[in-house]
Amino acid sequence: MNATDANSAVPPLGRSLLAIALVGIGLVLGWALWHQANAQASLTATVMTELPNSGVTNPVTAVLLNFRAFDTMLELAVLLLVAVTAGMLGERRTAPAGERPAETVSVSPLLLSLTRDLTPVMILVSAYLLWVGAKEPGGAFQAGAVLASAGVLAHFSGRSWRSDHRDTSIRMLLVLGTGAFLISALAMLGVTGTYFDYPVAWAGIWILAIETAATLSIAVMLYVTFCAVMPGGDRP
Amino acid sequence: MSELTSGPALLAWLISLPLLGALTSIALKHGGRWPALAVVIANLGLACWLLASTQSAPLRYALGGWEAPLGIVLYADTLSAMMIGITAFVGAVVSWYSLDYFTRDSSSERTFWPLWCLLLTALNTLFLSGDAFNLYVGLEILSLSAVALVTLSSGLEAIQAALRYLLVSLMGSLCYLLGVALLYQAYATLDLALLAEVSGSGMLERAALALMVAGLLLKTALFPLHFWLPQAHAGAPAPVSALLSALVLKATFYLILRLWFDTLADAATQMGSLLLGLLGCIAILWGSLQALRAQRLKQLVAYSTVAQIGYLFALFPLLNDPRVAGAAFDSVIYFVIAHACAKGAMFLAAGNILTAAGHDRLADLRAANLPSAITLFALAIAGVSLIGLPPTGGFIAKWLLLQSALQVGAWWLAGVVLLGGLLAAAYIFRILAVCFDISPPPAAMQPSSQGAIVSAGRQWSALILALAALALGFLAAPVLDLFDANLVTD
Amino acid sequence: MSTSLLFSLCGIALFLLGLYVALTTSAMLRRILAINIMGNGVFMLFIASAYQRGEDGVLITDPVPHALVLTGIVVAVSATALALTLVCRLHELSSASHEGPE
Repeated sequence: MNATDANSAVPPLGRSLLAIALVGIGLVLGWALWHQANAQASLTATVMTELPNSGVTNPVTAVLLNFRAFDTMLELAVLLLVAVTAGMLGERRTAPAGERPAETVSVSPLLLSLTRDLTPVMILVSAYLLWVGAKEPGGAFQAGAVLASAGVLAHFSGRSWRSDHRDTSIRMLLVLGTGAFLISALAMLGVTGTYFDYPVAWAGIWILAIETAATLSIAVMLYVTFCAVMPGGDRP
Repeated sequence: MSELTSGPALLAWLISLPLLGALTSIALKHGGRWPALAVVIANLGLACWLLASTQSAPLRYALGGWEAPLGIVLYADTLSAMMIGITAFVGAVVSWYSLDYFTRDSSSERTFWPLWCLLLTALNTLFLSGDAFNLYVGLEILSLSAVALVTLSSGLEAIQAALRYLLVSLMGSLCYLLGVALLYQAYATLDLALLAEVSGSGMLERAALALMVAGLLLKTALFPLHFWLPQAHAGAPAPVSALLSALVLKATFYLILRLWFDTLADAATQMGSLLLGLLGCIAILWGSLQALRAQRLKQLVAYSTVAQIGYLFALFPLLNDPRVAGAAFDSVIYFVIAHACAKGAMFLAAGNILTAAGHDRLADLRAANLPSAITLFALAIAGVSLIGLPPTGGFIAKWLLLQSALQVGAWWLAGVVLLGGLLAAAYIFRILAVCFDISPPPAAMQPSSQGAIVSAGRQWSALILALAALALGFLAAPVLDLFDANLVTD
Repeated sequence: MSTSLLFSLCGIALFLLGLYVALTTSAMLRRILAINIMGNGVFMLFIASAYQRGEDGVLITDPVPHALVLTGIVVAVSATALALTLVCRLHELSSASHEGPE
């Protein structure tokens, strides 16, 4: 408590009142939940009935990429939005003051060899996570995050991947994930007549293709966002 | 219900098209503005189509063919169609303005168009989605793109305002999401229509409604939760300020309206409506007083938004009263669309003045360094609508409000509205006084702050929005007919 | 008290603790972390609602809240990234304006 006093914006009296109010809210919410506790509502049965029509066997993946694919598409749009904004802010920063050369700090040989040995493993792990997502926990975001962390490791060992969002290839990769969702949703309007309605027979392949695109895109979006904040990140 | 789903995939297109615009705009190295503009124009067409289609019956569309509660269902009635229509119209005019506002191919310009398309995607999602969690994702796109748009003005203050806006928005979204989690725990459904059927007036529904509305109020900036608004709206580039004030606040207000009077109507109490009404009244007076004291033009316009949001909530006690609910709903929708046009015009005109004079300090502005009469005319008409004088849209909205208030004997409300009109007149005349001030500008600030020439497109777009606010005053009957066609009020 | 209820109450406690810190602290980084903790409290509530026992005592888990939380996490990561980017930018601008023009 006393440690936080230094950087508190609120006087002690205000904080006490706030704490009391929050405890009150907590009690009300707890009481409401307590009374609801024996209600046994769930969507498990509904999901399980439709699971054979989803193209995957992992129910969570079925919800994410089929039943509620629309949510997932918008979620990727959120990530894209942040990557584009971070890229813009990073560009603004490096544009006038390009005086700082690419970090000339010497990189430890240990880090270099670690990067060299780990990068292929991380790419493999990423591919595995992507593949296994259809059956067990895993999927595009986890796979993309592992791939992006390989990029972060490379950045710290002085061998940055390309991250300039003004590159055409980088921009294509940025929109790839959201684009795959959107294009397939719209294509289904032509094929099955319903937005996002994958035909059962090839839903599995279709979902894997979308997830692969999403994985690459997520990795690039996370990496571009990271580099936009790092000093000297825009340099090849 | 199934004959409704046979309707067009129009609802899905209204969300996909802006998203497609955003993606194309990011993918293109140069000229990302053109796909964005094409999308904005197509969106206007789709919005008109939606308005026409909802006249006979509400539309619903189950995405992926998965019905609720498993899937996400889009839903449109005349209220959502009106909101989408006004968004499309104001958005199109602001896009025209933006074409000349940003330096071509600057990093701000290249980022503006995708972000604006994403903002439009979020707005249309919020107006159409019938799924509580999908609305959360929509809210996050809305806030993050709004925050990102504020950062397009590069100064320290804009970044500070954007950061504060972001953190406040995140807290608001999480409050909303906590309410959704409570509802899911009790009913295992996220579909608003299903929730409306099953939810009662128990403790849990009340808690969920309170959390969701509190979170949305924070984003709608109802007094006393408006503290983040003036800096964010005044600090943003002019077209962004127009979008934020005219449209973004209305989207969260629309959700409050839906939750309070439809989805969780049983849990909403008379006391709650009265409380919101009182806060609305305080917002009218407080926002107007702050606008009177503002030093800068854009700050003044931003505080005027705080006051105008107050009117929307001041109507809540009337909306609960069966005697006047119909007229009060008409008044709400008229406030929303008239304010969207007038405030959009005002911020665009303020942006023109800022460019022409090089600053927007009210004390130092003189008639000599203002842009041409077109901008000033826009400013004047928009001002008249904000005050609520005939023959403008603002007048119709206020007239409906006063009529309903007097009919149920809510004299205090009528008093506040009249006082709010007087205060609005006072702060609008502060701006107009500048236009006739031909005294020489203070010598101290002659050389440095020479402004630039404002293009004709920027002047005319401001005027068009102002003229729309004026036209709303003449077209009250047809516009309200469009809205009342099949409104589900109970 | 069932396991699910216990986790729900913990989720609410996390949310409120996060809210308290977010409202009282003035350090930006601390505030961003606090908001993340609020989010985690909400996610915990979702996860708790997935955890139920069938009538024969068998554990059944609802996949929908899991999917919602996964979506929520990505959104939270994105929002945190934007907040941190803005904090960095703010830091650079304010240090530049302190040492820049004299």
